[in-house]
Formats: sequence, structure tokens, C-alpha cells
Amino acid sequence: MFSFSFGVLASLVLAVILAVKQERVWTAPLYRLLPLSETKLYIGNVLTNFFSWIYFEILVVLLAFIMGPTSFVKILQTMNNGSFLEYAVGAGIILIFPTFIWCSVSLVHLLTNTFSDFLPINIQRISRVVLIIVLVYGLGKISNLATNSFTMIFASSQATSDASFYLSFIYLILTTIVVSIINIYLLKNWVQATPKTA
Amino acid sequence: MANLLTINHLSYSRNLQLILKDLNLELPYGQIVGLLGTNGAGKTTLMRLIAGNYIDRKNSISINTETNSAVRKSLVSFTEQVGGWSGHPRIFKIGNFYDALYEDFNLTTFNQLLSNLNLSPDQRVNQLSKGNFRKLVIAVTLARQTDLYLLDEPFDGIDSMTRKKIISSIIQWKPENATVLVSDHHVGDIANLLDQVVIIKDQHVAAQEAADTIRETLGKDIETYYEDFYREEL
Repeated sequence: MFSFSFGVLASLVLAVILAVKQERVWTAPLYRLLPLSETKLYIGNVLTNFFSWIYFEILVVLLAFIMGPTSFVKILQTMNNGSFLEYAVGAGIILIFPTFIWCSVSLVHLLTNTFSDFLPINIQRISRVVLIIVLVYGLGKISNLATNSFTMIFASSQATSDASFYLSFIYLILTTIVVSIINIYLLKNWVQATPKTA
Repeated sequence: MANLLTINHLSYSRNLQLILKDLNLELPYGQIVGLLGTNGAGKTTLMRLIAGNYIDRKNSISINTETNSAVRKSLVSFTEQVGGWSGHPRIFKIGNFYDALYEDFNLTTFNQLLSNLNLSPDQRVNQLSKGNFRKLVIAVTLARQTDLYLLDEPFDGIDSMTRKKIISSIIQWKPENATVLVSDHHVGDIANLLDQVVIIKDQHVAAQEAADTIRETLGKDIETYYEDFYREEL
């Protein structure tokens, strides 16, 4: 049990570290000057984080098994009443959810960066804080609206709770793709590198 | 032969401040060009726009007739592409990093440049002084075999002996057809290196003249020619 708790904590720390690394790439000249299109840079960066995450989670599971095989098997036994597909989708949600969060953080960062370029330099600090608050609030509202609409469509189809589970997985993937498309557009057209001397 | 770099009616503003306005510039192949101007004239901004660090939304900039940003980046080696590594890598690891990412990066040239500039591949980046870091920047920038080199104040923090070494490195390692655009505040230091000068003033190119014309036809040295543009302000 201890190894599981440790795994969750370590995963949280890694998620934060990877988020910071991902954001650095969008504005660092070292990466922005690479002879790549913004689409390739974005996909490369997001996939690097995604695979780092998968790699780490596999290590966490292996470590949990090595440190306490008995409790590991016990935990597996408690989850014995689902189908393979349910477990696969559950694992998919665990693996994709951080990518969704990283892409959402990037969206706020890139939008803040874009708007900041149109504001006077002497109010940058305060305007960035205000922008982040407004953007997080606004994007939260939009996300709520999208979720409610999705739930209503789903409810009208009178699907079962199993279907709800699968649809939430699809919703997560679709939202990540939509956010990524907006991020790539911002990178291509608006977000510029921020050299240290600037 | 067409020009290597063509800039047509480039304007650029940021944070509600107009930095460049209706700037036009053409640079031929195989030249060493001095980009001169006072602090805040827009020299670094111009280099960042050419390199692709800043976005040229109207496609005003073309290198080898290419306006596409990703292609342009492959044709430009800019001093700002160096730095921002995570951790404190050793210099040879930095060489390997650029070798893996840039097709035109020549590791042998990089190592020879390091040796010329008295840098050891085993040194860590955080152990370098400001001057030695500038040397590393020059080594990485010149180790790429490309068409256009953008050197933004390459001699900042560098002693006179090393300055001479860097100047001879630029002459030695620059591919014959490549053009080097170099900005520096100390005009006298780079004057002998230059084939032509471009002066940025009032957000545009105020003058572009061959070094020989300045010396022989106008009878001035480059420093005096440059300072004449600011005579009223002196």
C-alpha cells in the first residue's frame, strides 16, 4: 500500500515537472529556432511528455509489485469485476488525463503570451496575472458548457452507465485534440520566443 | 545571382511600441555585413525576425526566396539559438545535442573551433565565464554550415585577444557563399572585417553602403561614417 501511495505522490511531482518542461519549449529560442514547423514542434513536445508519463507509470506499477507482491495481488483482486475493455479504457483515462491537463495549461500560457504582446511593457506583470485569472475562469465556463452539452446529448440517447464511462474517454480525447489545434494555431501565428534579454 | 536575404516593407511592433517601420533590405551572398545602430534601434529585433524567433506575419522576409518560417530557420544560424539547456551539461554534450538536431551542424568544425578558442569539451556550461560562454556561442553558431549567420554582439564581454581569434574564426570557417550579419556597439573593432554596413535609425534602414565606397569614395573610416548619422545627437 505504501508503494502505491508513493507512486501517486511521485506521479504528481512528475506531472508538474513535465508541465514546466513543456511550457518552456513554447517560448525558448533554443527550441523555437529549430528548423521545424510549429505543428511538428508541438506534437513532438506533447508526445515526449506523454511517453515519459507512460514510462514512469509502468515503472511505478513494477516497483509496487516488487515492493509488495502480496498487497499488489490483493488490490488487483478487488478490481476483479470489470471487463477487459473497462480496464483498458480506465487505464487510457489515467494515461491521457495528464496530457489533457498539460495541453490546457499550454492553452492558458499561450493565450496569456499572445494577449501580453498587445499590452504596454510597464504593466506586464499585473496584466499577466489578471489575464491568467480571466482566462482560467473563461475557459472553465466554456469547458463546463461543453461538458453539459455533451451530457445532455448523451442523456437523450438513453445510454447505460457503461456507455457514459466510454463516452467520457472519447470526450477527453476530443477535448485534448481541440485544445491542441488551438495551441498550434497560436504557436504558428502569435506566440513568439522570449529571449532572456527581452 | 539573386540576393540571399530580401526584406520588403517590414514593420514590427510589440507591446504597443513600433520597433521597425517599412524596413527594406537586400543582402547578397558571400558578404560580411555590419549592422549598426544605437541601443534600442531595432538591430536585435531585426535579427530575431530574420531568424524566425519573432513572427513576420506578412511574409516580408525571404532567404533564398523562401518565406516559410521552418525553411528559413534551416538557412540561418543565429547566436540566440544557443543557451537554455536544462541542467549544466558539458560542452561536448552540447555539441552532440546540436549535431543530433541540425543536419548542417559539423561536429568536427565545432571541436576545432573549441580548440581555437581555448575551450575544453569537458568543461561544464555553468563553469564558464561570460567571455567563455560567448566563445561557446560563437563555436556553436559557426559550426553550422549554412547560408546566413546572424551574430548579435558576438564580442560582448570578450577581451581583445579573443576578439581577434573570433574574427579570424569567422573569416576561416564561414562558407564562401555564406553571408554574415554582425551587430556590435564597438564599430572600430569590426570595421576591418566588413564588406558593407547597414545602419538602422528611426526604425528603418537609414543607409547601406559598401565598406570600400566609404573608405575610398567618401574618404571616411566606417566609425566616422556611422557617427555622422548621429552627429546632431552627439
